[in-house]
Amino acid sequence: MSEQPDPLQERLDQAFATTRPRRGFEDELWSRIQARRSPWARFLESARRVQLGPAVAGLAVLLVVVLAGGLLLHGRPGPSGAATSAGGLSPQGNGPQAVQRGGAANADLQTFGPLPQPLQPSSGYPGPVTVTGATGSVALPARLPVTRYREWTVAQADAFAASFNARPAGPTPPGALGRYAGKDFTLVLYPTDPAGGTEPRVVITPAPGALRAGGSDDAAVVTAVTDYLSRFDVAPGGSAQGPTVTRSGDQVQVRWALSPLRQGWSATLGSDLGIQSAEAPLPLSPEVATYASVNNQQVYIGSGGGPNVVLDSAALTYVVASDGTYGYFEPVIRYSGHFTQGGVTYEKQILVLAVR
Amino acid sequence: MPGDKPPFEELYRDFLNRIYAYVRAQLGSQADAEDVTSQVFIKAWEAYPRYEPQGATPASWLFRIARNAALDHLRSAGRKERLARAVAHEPEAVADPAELAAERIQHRALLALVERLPERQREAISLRHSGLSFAEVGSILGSSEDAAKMLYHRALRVLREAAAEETG
Repeated sequence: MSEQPDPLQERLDQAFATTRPRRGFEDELWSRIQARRSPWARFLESARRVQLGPAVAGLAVLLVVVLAGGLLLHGRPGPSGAATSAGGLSPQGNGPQAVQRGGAANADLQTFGPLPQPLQPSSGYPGPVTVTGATGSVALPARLPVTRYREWTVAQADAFAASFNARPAGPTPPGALGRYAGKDFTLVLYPTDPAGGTEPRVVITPAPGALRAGGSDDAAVVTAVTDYLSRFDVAPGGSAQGPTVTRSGDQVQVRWALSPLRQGWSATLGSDLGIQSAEAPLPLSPEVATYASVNNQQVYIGSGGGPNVVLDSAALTYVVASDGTYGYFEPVIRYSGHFTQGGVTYEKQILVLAVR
Repeated sequence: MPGDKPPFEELYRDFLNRIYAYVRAQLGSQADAEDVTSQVFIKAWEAYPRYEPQGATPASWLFRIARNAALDHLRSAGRKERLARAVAHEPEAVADPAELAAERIQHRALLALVERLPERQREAISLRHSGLSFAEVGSILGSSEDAAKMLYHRALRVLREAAAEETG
């Protein structure tokens, strides 16, 4: 301060400097914040702290560079994970028990056992083909990370809804875990959907007119959506990319991405700036393991009995998969090639697990 | 995150006590101060990827979040009534004998006087004695540095008179 402090100012300085939260509060709150952080971020931090060997260092590079920050799970707790998980929080403290993995570095080098085969893409030629060659190739590191999370169950979906005073309200849409009605909203919770490429998520539909943005500008719209999602403790967190606001006709859409490969948060507002629907990923408790990458021999693809095709393009990507108990983000090689049949050129895409 | 931003944990450790003291001076009760301080840092963590150090100092940025959170808390239904009751009747914590030290009691009494100041005066005193510059205080209160300085000194005068009345 530039002026000479008088005794009152000095007392004020001391009063503020000596006012402290109770003992333990700092660590408690930090734990709560940590629980909201991206598990992948915690994993990378753990790797740095314990100075793991080249395999994990390479994994960190792979995560950051190859996947361009993709696959970062948003940092909220979700359904209980494996026995090695510890700690727990739940949406608003009342939802399904959620588990955070604090000691990721200890367990991340193990594998989860056999992985579910990726669902073949629906785009392109849907029928069988005879692969006469796979000339496309992609350079793979020796090991690749796989993320696994416990699938949401109906009981957990019920508990999540109950924590917001919402009760089951049928009929449940196909593929959903449940549909629930609250005072001025409905919730529909979905598990992993490999066909849609989506992880567990919740769709929130407010009652008409239940909530309107305070203005039509982007900032007001984004604030309204964020506040609304916060009510359900599924607001975009630190790993969200965006928001982007797009306007089409009378509708306004707000989106945040989780990564280029993963669907994030979205909401649609009508001409009255009322939120019509909002969608958010559900909290997850991911675990990470590394798997040995496939070699060329394992990538070989045999005859399927259809038209001949040479798969002359290959790219490493990640897809969501599920075995019913766990959902996975698993690395796959997306092969593609073209062939002509009846004067029409088709593209055939085939996904092959990139790890063994 | 941009390279010139410190890790969030660094910010958290550096500012937790200051933010708590500021919030406590606004709200009076320890429980409310803990609640709001928690909200402040959770909101700050969520917003940290969007925080641009070029736009505001970390102190300005965090105290702005704290101010909004404290105001929201105070303005919610019934809060002011509860605040009055809390100021009048909040029991002293007795778990820690150090809490009973005369100096602490004097500090608490002084903060109780701060709590009773008009809103903007209370904020000016609290922000200033939380270590913010007048420019930062002005930025948070939406006024110029000079106006913040005047507001602060006016608040100090009122506080001085109130303290004199208290001591008879």
